[in-house]
Amino acid sequence: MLSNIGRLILFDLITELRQKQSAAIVLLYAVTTLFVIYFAFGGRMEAETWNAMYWILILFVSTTAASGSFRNVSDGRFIYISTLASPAEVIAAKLCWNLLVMLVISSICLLLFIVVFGIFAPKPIEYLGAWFLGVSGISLSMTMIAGIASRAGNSFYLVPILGFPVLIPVLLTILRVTGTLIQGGSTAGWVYYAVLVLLNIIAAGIPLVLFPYLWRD
Amino acid sequence: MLLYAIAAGLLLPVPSVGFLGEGIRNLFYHVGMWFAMMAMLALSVAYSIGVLRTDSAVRDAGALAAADTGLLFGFAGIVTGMIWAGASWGAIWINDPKLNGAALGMIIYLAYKLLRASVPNPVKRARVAAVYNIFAFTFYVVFVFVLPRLAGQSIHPSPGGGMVMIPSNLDPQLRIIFYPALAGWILLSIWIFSLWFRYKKLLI
Repeated sequence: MLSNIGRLILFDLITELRQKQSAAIVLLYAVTTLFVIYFAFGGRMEAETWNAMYWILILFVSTTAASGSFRNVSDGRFIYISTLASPAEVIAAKLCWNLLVMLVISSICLLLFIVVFGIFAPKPIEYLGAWFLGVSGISLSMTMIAGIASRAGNSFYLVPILGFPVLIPVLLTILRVTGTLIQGGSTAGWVYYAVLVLLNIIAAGIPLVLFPYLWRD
Repeated sequence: MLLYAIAAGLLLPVPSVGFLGEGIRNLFYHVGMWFAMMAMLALSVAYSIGVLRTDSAVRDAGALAAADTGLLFGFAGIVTGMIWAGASWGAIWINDPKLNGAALGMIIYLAYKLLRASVPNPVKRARVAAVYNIFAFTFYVVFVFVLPRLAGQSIHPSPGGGMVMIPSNLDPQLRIIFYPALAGWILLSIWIFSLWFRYKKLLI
């Protein structure tokens, strides 16, 4: 079971490296948007704004990334893959792959944000911990949404519509936590971290249970 | 049916007691609607789980009907809330977690309807919609019940069930009207749901 998941992730990775379809597109999208943000703010922004803009960027990037990760599940390959692995394995692999892609892209964006605007948290380790939980929450939820949308056809506009409401809890929590940390505040309450972890668990667990129903067709 | 009518009728003689400003009367409308909405949305999720287990078109119609009724009561709740807010806080909308949760719920279920509209195949539509319903509802419940507690204080009296269900928190005079009103609203929502459900079943 784990080896199947590993193989599927590897498959995604190799497809990516060969065809450079989704991750490279998403990266370019992120960098271009970053440019627009830079010009819109005239190169200068407050710490709070920096934080908010960063997470909004990640939000939009995640919609693109999630749709991308399901793009190569067109009919022919879908039948082939479904003979090789159970749906739970497929979705587990997609969740992991998307998480990896999002982590890479989000960290690049974070670096660019730090370099371009010159703002960062006084306590990097805690910030990074919260950041990780936020990115993973966003990416896990969006992967599931993209899975749902991909079965619905016209998935391009459905992903943001379905996804943003679902992401709002994660987004609000992560904004509060990172906002406090960016301002140099003391440790944001542990409850927020608990909520983030809970949201991550939900975002990872529900797809594992429900995805097989989607896949059955 | 008569029972529903009587219960709903109870809502009308309600605005007879008002002591902390007449505005408190809204309690019987707004909060009741909210409970009804949550009941309807939970019912919708229950039907969705049923759809996933049996692929039944009837249960799918049930999920849709419950979601629609939930939306109806949700919007009614928001509107009554806005009226109340305008009167007691001076602004009809503020940035508060409980209000944001309410708006979010509406958006989620509107997106649900949109999702349904974009899948032509009925069996697939039932399944896809059911999955989204369950997924989104879980997040919604977390958002509505957990986050307001985290926020600490909020201008919107936000119980999470705590304030109004514990009898000692509510003045006895209001209490005798509130509980029946609550039952009345829920029954009204069940009635509307059952009518809508019957209509949807005919369309299958």
